[in-house]
Amino acid sequence: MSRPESNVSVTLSEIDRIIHEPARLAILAVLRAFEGVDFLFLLHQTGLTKGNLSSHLAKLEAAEYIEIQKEFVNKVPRTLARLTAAGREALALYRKEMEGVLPKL
Amino acid sequence: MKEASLHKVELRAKRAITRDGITEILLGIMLLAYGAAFFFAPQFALLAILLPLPLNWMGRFLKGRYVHPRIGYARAVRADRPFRGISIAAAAFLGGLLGALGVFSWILGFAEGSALWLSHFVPAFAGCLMAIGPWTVAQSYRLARWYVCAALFVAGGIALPLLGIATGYDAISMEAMAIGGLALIYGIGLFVTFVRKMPVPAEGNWDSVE
Repeated sequence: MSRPESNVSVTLSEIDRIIHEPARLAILAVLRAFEGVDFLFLLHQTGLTKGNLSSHLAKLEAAEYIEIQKEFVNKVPRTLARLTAAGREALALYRKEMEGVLPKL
Repeated sequence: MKEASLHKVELRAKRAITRDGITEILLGIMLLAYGAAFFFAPQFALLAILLPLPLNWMGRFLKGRYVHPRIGYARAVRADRPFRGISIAAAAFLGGLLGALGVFSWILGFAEGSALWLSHFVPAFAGCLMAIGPWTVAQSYRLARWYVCAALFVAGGIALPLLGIATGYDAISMEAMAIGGLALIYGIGLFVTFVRKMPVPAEGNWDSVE
């Protein structure tokens, strides 16, 4: 009885906590579908508040899962977020890990 | 987030960029122009080849002016799969076209075989060819209206000559004009609904990542 539980806890502890948060997971899922999206698009798709989204983006950027680019389009600033190769790999790994963990729960 | 799976989140995000109806408007204008040019003034039909240039500009203008300030900007991924699918479909189409022409000419004799081919089978093949684009969009975004559009192309290409409404190149032109008109009306409806339902945020298209 204790063995499977410990196995599950070991596997769960290995899960990427940066990704294992609903808001950040949603951000990464949206970014995975596009080459790049701006701040307003992410706000609409995730339903987060401005501050919340900013803070989650900053965390994902610090983990190097996404990159943030500032650009000007017709003199209007645009913040473009895109998934990095590391972010794409981390998300794929997270999916695999969750598929492995969930049947054991 | 109400979605139960990551796939649904991705799909909803992808569909968000198709809600404005601009693609339908551009498709409608293009089909109407091509159909009308071939039907009424074939001598000017070549000019219609230049149409994608102003339509591309118009699409960018509408997106930049009405869509991006409302729902934001998203740059689509350049997927390889649909193009591979289109290449295979185009090769199959050309193979079928040449094969059928040969079979008809062999069975019915060159003159009759070609006549039947041109009057009845060219519109059907053209309908199938024109359905590839909408079908690819429908597959990418899982949108029912694009599946309907693809089905209309296939059905129209077969039905118009069979019902005796039009044959040959006239049938292709009429089909393009009819489906183009429908797409344009539908697209304008979607666009007006989108603009009315999605106001520009009061703060404008702000940008707050430090």
